[in-house]
Amino acid sequence: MNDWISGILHAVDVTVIYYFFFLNGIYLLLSLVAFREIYQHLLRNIYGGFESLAHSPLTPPVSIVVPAYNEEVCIGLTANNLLHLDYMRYEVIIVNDGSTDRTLEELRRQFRLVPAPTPPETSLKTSPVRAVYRSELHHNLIVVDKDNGGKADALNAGLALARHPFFCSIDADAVLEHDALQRVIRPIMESPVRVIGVGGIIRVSNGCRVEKGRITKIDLSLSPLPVFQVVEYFRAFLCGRTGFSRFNALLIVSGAFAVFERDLVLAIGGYRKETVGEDMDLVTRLHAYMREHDLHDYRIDFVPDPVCWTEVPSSLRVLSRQRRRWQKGLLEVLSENTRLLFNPRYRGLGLFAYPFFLIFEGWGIVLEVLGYIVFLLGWWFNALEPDFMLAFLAVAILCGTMLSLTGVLLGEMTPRSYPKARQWLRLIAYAVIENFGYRQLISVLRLLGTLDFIRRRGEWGRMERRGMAEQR
Amino acid sequence: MKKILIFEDNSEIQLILKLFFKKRGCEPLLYGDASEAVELARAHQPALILMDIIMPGKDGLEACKELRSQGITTPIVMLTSKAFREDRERGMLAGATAYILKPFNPKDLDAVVHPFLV
Amino acid sequence: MQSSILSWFSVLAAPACAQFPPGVVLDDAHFRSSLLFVLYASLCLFWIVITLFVYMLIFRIYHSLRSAYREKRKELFRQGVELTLLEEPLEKVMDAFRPRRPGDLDISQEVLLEAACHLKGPPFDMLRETAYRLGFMEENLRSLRSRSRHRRGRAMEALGILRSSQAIVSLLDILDHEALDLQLTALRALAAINDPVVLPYFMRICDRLPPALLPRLISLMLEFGSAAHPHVRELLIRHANRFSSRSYAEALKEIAQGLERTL
Repeated sequence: MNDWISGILHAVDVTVIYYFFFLNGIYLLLSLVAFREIYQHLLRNIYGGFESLAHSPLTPPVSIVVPAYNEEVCIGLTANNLLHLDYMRYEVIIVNDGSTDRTLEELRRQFRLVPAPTPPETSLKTSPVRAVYRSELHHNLIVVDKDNGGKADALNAGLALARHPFFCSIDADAVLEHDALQRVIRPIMESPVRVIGVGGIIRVSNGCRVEKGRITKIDLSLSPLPVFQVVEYFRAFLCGRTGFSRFNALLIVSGAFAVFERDLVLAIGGYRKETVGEDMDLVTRLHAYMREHDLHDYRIDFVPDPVCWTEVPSSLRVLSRQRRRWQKGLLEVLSENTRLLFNPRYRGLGLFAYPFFLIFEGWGIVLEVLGYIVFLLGWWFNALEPDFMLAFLAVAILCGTMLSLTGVLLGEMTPRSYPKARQWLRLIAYAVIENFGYRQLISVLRLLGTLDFIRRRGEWGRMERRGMAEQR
Repeated sequence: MKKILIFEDNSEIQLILKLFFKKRGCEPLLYGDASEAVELARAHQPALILMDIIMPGKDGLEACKELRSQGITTPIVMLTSKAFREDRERGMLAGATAYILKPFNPKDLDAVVHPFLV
Repeated sequence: MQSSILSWFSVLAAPACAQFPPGVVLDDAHFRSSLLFVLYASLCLFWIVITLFVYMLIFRIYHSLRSAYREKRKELFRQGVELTLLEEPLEKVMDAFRPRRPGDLDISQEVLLEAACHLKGPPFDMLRETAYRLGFMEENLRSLRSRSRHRRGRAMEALGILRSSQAIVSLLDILDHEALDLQLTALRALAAINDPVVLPYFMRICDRLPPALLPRLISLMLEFGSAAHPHVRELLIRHANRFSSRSYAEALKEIAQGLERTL
């Protein structure tokens, strides 16, 4: 019996250790791939010919869709930033999603809006559009005023109005780099295969000086929470996404800024309102659509150039809400697409990315938190085996720290990186400290998000059952 | 000495324009963005304003429109790159007096700005 | 060897190891082999990352020292640009751009090219003549065969900016051997040199370029002006099925506007 119990405990030990080992190990290997990709990308950037790309009339025009809900404070600045991009032809479509504040009035005041004809209905059904406006000051600005329907609904409304072959979605409080469109359109133009979507690095604007809608001074925030998130974003974007994009298995292209082929997104029905992870949901459905229609000659790319700056939560409460929502969104998308799992039809996505996200980013969080609890309890009660303890420290803390440091290292290679040495020393320090509390905190928040997901599924199940009972 | 206000964010072009106008006995004042164009124009009372179209913050066309709407009648020469045909037309509509294409020949620039410097 | 690695690692984990009697942690017999593997693998990864860090740190320091040095030297050669704009004689301009120390050639050329990018007419001709007389052209032509990808790309760009017709043959040669992005760089350089004699080669490249890049190729061909129009028309007819309707319409519009310009 004792042998049996110790056998089980040993199995649990090994599972936890190997879980952390594979989680951090796979990311570290992806980082090595990313290192090479970023280095080559930087070389290509040097003679990238961006200027000719930006100024050629044959460069594809882009429609920028900005869903806005109660953004009276920053919508004017965002719109101004977007209207002064270094790109030949593009339009900016701001969708006022039933704001209860003065968002529309601000736009009206700053841009001299006049009514424009409402376009014909498209296949995308959205909440009722009240009015469409254009600006007398800027020929390429359109404002859509509609009833509240959520972010996905607002994006669909903007998408329905978009005239250009490519569209990009951007958050209302994000600051775009002036050459962002040039950088993301480049893989679309220069790739030998069809590129249906492109994302770039999202940078943290907390602590930076923003003047007239541009980042003029790159700096770190004084408070610790945003700095932890800087390290985290570098790790997520550079270690994870660059590597995944190399294998055309990118599941997440950030909703803060991403470019897609408009017709293709319309063909799959636009954004889905039923999920909070609408950006990941869109990318997954795009991949699935292409594979299911036997169109294997395509890519969804990631450019390791900074394209967009966004403000991250600086309070624990807002961070908690955000991470719970992200985890819930992730699990929703994963549960909607179970047909991808180990399905060779979906190539890299089905054989690697989806299982990886399912095991490590999705449900593995339970094992992760369990691992931390087992370790802490064992240490407290002196009940740990020394080999388990050392191995746990090695995989959870050491590998985790290595991964954070690699993220910081890769971040330093990319353009528009932090200019001062003291900022990098601070980032290195945070990369180490991150693994002694912050990552564990995020794991707990994600676990709560997982519980939210389970509870909501339970609710749906109950509602369904009630409905069926009523029918009988 | 005649003052020339130059709004151009590229440092090489700034250098070229600075030397060009110094050679012609003018005082070039260089700025990287046109957000304070109106205030600067009022303060310096320049004989000529040179404006690039793409600049951080406020772009050349907007600055041009603003200058004209504030009653500033100083001649404005737009610097535009050859692909921006629509910008040239819009520049004229915005109130620019003339335009010069980048890359530019100093002799062409001379021909354009000379009438405003005598 | 094993013990030394373990002892090294237990130094890192010292605070946590404090609860165990000394010696226990270092005893291999206590280690389950499944977990031992993980430990070694983690240590390997640790060393890889540290090595990368040190490499990048050294590279960074070298790079910032080099940049600072280059910026200081560039100030010296900027005088050449001033003399060019002041329409000084060629000999004076050449003297100002002449490399004085090893490594100056690159820096002097960079200053010259940065100015040449924005100029046309007599000042550009002066800069080009200076580049020719000081041997920049030969250096760039030699660099086209360099093993370093970066040097080859830079050389192509430089030859394009300087509109060096001597480089046409070498650039056309590269079109057959290089990777896609350097091919595009070479095509851009050829378009900048603007000698219509290369247009048939652009047409030949068409067959090998992926469809998504055809509009880009047309964009470059249109820089040759009206000389390119018959070729572009032929391209549009021969490869009509490879264009999307939108890019096809755009190309036609561009040709029409080009014709309007020449009339």
